[in-house]
Amino acid sequence: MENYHSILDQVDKLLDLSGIHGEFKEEMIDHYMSEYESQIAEGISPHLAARSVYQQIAESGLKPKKTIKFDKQLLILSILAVIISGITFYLSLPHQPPQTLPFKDYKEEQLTASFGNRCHPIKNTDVFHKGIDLKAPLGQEISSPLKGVVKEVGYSNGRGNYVVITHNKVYSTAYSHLANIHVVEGQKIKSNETIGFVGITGLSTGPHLHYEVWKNDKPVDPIPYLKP
Amino acid sequence: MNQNRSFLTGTLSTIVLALLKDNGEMYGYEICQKTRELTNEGIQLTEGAIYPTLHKLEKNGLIISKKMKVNGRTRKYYLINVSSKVEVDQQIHLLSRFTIHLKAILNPA
Repeated sequence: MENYHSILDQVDKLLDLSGIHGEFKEEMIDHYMSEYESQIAEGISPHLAARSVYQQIAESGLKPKKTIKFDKQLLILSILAVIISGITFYLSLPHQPPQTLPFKDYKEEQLTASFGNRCHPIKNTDVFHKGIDLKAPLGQEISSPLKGVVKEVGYSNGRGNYVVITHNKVYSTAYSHLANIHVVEGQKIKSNETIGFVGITGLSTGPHLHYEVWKNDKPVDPIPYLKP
Repeated sequence: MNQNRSFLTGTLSTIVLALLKDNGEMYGYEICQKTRELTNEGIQLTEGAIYPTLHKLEKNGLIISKKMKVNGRTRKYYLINVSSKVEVDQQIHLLSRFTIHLKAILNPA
């Protein structure tokens, strides 16, 4: 009986080495031990019977039952990996800032007031200038530097007629002192599409566009974003 | 055996069903031995063929299994699933009819 158990252990190990586990291994142990017992019953010596069984295991070409299942898991994992990397790629896509000014042609001398602290020309006090002022003839066409959606259209005493456009999750732009407005709230805008025309509405000393770029809800200087 | 392998691929599951139908509960090794015996060693089933077939039949619900301890190891017995009896009989019937047709072709009277 001691011999029987050492042979059973050996069969167990050989099956392990073939990658056969669990319930299927139990079943195969019974198979090979049945073969062993059958040979003993035919009068073959335990030593030879054991040899013959080990030989059979080696030649059986048994394949681990889990192979197909493992492949399926691998497939599911690869699909997940592709989806996750796709999402990561999408999230890592830079949100494009406006890289042009809202005029079809623009000359540097049009920039009459830059971004940052300055003395307000009408209030005559130091205020933070949230955008830039671009001097332009009355009625000059203003066009969106990027595609986007019109977030707000309105009038206020300071800004006059104004438009706010959301371009992406990060950037939005605002246009003030317009003579008239060419878009409505919620409207989808293509790049270079006309928003309105330069005017003198609101707190303004002469026809110009007050242009703001907002990054993550904070005003930023539009100039560094311009393409050379 | 090697020459038989291609003939067995389409018929092995039906052969197993027929053996289980005639003998009641059987375990894998027993099915191999019984087949050898009945065919005078003409058909020798390998473990690489018989167990996948048994597992597939069990998965498809045509047969069921139960376990028993024998000499300190677990033996898995297979038997026809009673609720699939009609399907099993039909399958055996179709194969035996097919063999009659085969005989007619191979040994024309």
